Amino acid sequence: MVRKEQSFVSRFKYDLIVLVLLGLVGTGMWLNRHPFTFDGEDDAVAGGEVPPQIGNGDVLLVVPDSSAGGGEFNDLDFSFAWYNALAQEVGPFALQVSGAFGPEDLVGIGLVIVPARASVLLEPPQIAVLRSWVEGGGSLVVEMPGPSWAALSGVKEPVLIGRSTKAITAAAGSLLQGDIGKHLLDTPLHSRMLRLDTVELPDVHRTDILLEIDGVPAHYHRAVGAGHVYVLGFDFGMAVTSLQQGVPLADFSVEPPEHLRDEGLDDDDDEPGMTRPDMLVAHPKLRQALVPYADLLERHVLYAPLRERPQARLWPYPETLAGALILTHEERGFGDRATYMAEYESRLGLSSTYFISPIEISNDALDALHAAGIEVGLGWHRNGPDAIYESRGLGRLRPYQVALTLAEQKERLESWSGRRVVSSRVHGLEWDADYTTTFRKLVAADVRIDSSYGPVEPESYGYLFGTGLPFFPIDRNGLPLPIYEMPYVLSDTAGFGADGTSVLATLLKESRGGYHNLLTLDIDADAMAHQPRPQTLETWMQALELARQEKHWVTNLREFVMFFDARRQASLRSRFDPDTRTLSLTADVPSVAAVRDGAPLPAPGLAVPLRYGSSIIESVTVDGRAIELNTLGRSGDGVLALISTSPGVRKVEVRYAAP
Amino acid sequence: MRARDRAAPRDGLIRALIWGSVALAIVLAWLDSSPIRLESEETLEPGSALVLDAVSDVLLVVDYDAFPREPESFDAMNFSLAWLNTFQQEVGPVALRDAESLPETELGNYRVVVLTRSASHHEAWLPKLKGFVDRGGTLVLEMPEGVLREAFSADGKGGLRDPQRITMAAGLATDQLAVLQELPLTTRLVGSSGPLDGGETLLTIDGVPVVYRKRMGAGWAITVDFDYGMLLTSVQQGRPTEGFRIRDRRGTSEIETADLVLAEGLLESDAPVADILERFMVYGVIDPVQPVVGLWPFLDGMDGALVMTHDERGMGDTAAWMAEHEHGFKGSSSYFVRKPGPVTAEGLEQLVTLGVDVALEWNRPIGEGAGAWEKIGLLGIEPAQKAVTLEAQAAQLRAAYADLPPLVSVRSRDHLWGRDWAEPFRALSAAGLLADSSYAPPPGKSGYAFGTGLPFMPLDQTGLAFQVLEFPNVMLARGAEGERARLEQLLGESQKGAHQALTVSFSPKAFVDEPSALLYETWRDAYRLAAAHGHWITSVRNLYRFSRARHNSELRSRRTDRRLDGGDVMLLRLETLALESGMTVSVPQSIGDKTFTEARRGLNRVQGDELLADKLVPRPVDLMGYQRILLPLSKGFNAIDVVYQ
Repeated sequence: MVRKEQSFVSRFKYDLIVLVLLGLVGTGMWLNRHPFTFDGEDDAVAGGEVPPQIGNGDVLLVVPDSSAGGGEFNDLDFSFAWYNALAQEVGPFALQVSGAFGPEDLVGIGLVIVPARASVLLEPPQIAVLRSWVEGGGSLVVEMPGPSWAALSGVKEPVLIGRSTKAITAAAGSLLQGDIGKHLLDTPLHSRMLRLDTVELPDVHRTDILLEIDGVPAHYHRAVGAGHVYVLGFDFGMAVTSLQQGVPLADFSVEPPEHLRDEGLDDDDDEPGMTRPDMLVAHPKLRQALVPYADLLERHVLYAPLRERPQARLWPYPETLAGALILTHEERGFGDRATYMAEYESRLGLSSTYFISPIEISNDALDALHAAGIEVGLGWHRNGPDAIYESRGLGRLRPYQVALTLAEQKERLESWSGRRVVSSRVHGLEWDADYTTTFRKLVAADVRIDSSYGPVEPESYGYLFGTGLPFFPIDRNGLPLPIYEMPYVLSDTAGFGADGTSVLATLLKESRGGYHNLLTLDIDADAMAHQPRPQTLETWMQALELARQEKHWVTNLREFVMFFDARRQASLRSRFDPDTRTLSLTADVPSVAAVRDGAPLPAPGLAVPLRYGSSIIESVTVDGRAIELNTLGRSGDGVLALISTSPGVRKVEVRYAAP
Repeated sequence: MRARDRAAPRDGLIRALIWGSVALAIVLAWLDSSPIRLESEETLEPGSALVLDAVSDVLLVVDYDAFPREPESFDAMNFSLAWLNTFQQEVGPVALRDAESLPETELGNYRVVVLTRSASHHEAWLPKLKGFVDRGGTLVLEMPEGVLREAFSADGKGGLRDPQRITMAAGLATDQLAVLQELPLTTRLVGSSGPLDGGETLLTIDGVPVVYRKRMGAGWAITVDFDYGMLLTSVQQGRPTEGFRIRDRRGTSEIETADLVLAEGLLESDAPVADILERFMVYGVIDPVQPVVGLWPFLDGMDGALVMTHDERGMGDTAAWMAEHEHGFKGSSSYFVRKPGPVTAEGLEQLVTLGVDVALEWNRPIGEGAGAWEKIGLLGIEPAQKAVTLEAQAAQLRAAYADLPPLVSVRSRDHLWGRDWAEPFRALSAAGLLADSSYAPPPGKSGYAFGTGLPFMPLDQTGLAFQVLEFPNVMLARGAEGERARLEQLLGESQKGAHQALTVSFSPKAFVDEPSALLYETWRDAYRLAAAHGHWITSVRNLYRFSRARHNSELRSRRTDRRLDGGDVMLLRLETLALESGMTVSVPQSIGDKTFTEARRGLNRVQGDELLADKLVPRPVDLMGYQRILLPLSKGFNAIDVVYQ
């Protein structure tokens, strides 16, 4: 038998060699067509960090110099939510850490904000400095103060902390009135609060109670000397962060949506699976929210000191425009065909953001987008069926492929487009099932803007995250991550419904009417190829027209952030003289060139209280020149007057009429 | 050695088996990925000799015996049936008889008799024709010969000539004359030694009278001394080269219907030149001496029609999004669906539910890798493919959804036509498809490339007619700059006087292949613009049905002079059987020196002791400068007295 086999092999050895070679070539060809696949691994930063002070304003935020990270979500320090609130509502402000806070920090300051943890960390001498400053006429906002703040808060004994809040029950003292005031009462709350109903509040008149939660005073005003103290009895930072960034489970994990629930855990390594950002939405009613609840809450709190002492701020939109609209288009591998939206927008002199998946699109198309003034962002493909693979091997043999990491995708897109990429949206909205891991990966890849938060389900729309304005996500260590999240409010797959235009029209109309928001829309460039329906294109075209009608600035993510950052980097100092009823202010807004054409971006408007007490503005001068009062803009809530300016140093005097 | 000797042939066999198997596997694998393609023969049905027993004012006479059986070239064809297009487009019901039945035909039943070129030489008919004219009838003769020429026309001694340019058209507006003058005259004319004595010249070519009329007794004889049918067919259907072949004139490597366009100047023509010529013949030549009454070609007397079409192009069920939008305002359209293709039975059901005309996109095996192919093989190995014929594609579409309404409309993929002038129509006829919309201007151009937007009946190369109506496209929308404005312009001019059916194509697949915001805007606004310009928004099938119903309706008129209320009036008494709702009759605004004053339905009808005066609401329209009055009809029989005073 052995002889026979040897005999066969020896007789056919050359045939067998050729057959084996053919088999190898065949296998190689097969592997080239069906390569082995491997996931890519994204880097992530270790955590958030204390942001630098980049502007200079007459509002001072005292942040804790040590953060209370770890533990559970409800134990997190939300002090930096104030950072977001001030960036959104005020613009430039000063920043100091609690350990370094001293009297020199109060020079030129009109309002000091002490978040809950900073109020714990500030030493009695520092509190005494604040007290004397308030007595001299300053305004102080202090969050959940302890007994050491008794001289300012009026509460001498320790107060129990309630672990949950249900609803705002009264806001009679709020500057937000009318329909907007009513919506403030609807704000979903996820916070903790001092049980101020268990203590006495001396010197606090009923009219000084600005907000009640669950029937308990939660925000009140107290006159101290010539100054004013505004005490927040609830964790404003937690409430705002929960709305804006969402609420994870206690261990910071995020539940996967139902269709992914079975895949929640990877059997191999017990790593959490993937989820979607909308799983973080704080309250079911937010899934169809036409009201930006987080912004209303911020405005309520930051408007309150204006009643007693007028102060200026920078309007978050150019000049006196009512808001902004950003159109974003995911290219999703549609290739050069995707550029038709850019062509149309460019024809109208408008811009948008394209999230490009670096797969199909040509350099020519990227150049065309650039020429059309479009911002190119990255459509980030995560590991999984939609991953972008790079085949690897030797020579023409490419037997395996590896999914490109976020950094590699960004690098590829930057090399294709020849330009820096700063914005991103996660393709398919695949989100790590953890509160901030995805943000950490984005930061590690030097992405500065994300716009993955927004509605996903077809019936969802609006301010699912309480705002349309950018905010810095708060990491698990309580510190902000240096990336802006810019939630979108409508998507061609969510919220357009049978008549997407009407939702959009409502959002724009109400934004002009009082909510003054940034409305980011997600309309995929390939929507008509995959889920064609007229509403998609109709809503897109209507958006451009309605934005013009409703006085909204049509821009792109990067341009808005440049504008927003320039606003934060501005210098704004104001001084109010109660005797002459004059608010004098000096604003220095840097000039920033737009990426699309190098032209200077418009400057934000100057916002000042429309009223002081019962009187309204009598005269306004800008650089010594009186301006017609009928050229002033007004915020839809009736609180602010808007003065249009241009970049550079401007001196403004606003005089209020005698009562 | 002996063992080795014994093993050698066995080894050879094994080796042959091994390498044969390897070679076979490689060949089969290669063929499976690059199968051999086999052509399929289309079933063809030639044109047929039509005879129409319609109740009408107009009788066309053709002599099918004079039609060459196998003409060698386009010039050798007989174009007599082109007259049928003219009268069906402008009048609606028309009687058509073969020459052999004319002796038994009572000409007194008609007010206009047209002896087409094929039938203008029968000497024996002279007494009958003279009697018809003497009694007030109008006889139209195309290039008559022999005694008929002697009796009714100029001498024809100049013989056949190749014409150059139209030089005069009586009463035709200057701009319309200019359009006609640009037209290459692909026809022949008959010259004479001089104009007909007592005749009135209406059209001259190269200064030669080619259309003239003469009063004879109480009636009129009108001579058309050029091959009218040839010119009309050249414009509408295109003119092939020798052997009825089409040349790739546009350099696109394939032959599209755009290669059939007669002249470069027609590619973006604003004016429907064929209709200018036809309407001149009907309203400029015949109507002044014999008032022409016709059924209006559009529903409810609207000013025109926008025939909305969509090419599915293999997009599948999602292509229905345009239909869903149209359904929102009860609009209708035609979807040209590819079969074999991805559209499912559910998709077809949805289209039918949305009121769509489900039509066939003829996926012809023309072009690299294109067309519908059927795999042939065994055990998953498919080394060959066979082209799916039109008949099979139509059958597959019909079978795909049991409740599909009768399949009527068809369009060739990418408007491909192939080298043969008439073969595609033969294939359509064989497949039982009745309305084609393959004719189209080339991409990027729009207008009346085929001289008309109205459906016309194509001719076979034998000169016989296909039972198919061609709906030429005026625009294949692509989202180019200015398309919307162009559509608005065409609609505006149609409303103003051209009164056309504008077949436009918007493919839902365009938003996948070449998405364009401008394309969307044009499509979205097309409906609004059509409505604003009084156009009927419809589908190929709906317009086909309406046109056929109009052709098959009955319409007779009688003119009498009366005294009414102390004055002389002329009564035009109409009797019509309208087969569809929404039909309208068109009458002249003036007859001689008398002008339309009113129209009453059944003037003498009595109910009880009351005389009914069912006065109709007239609507004046300008039809390329010819003033007409539209009167609404009820479905069924209508008797109407139209009063001119």
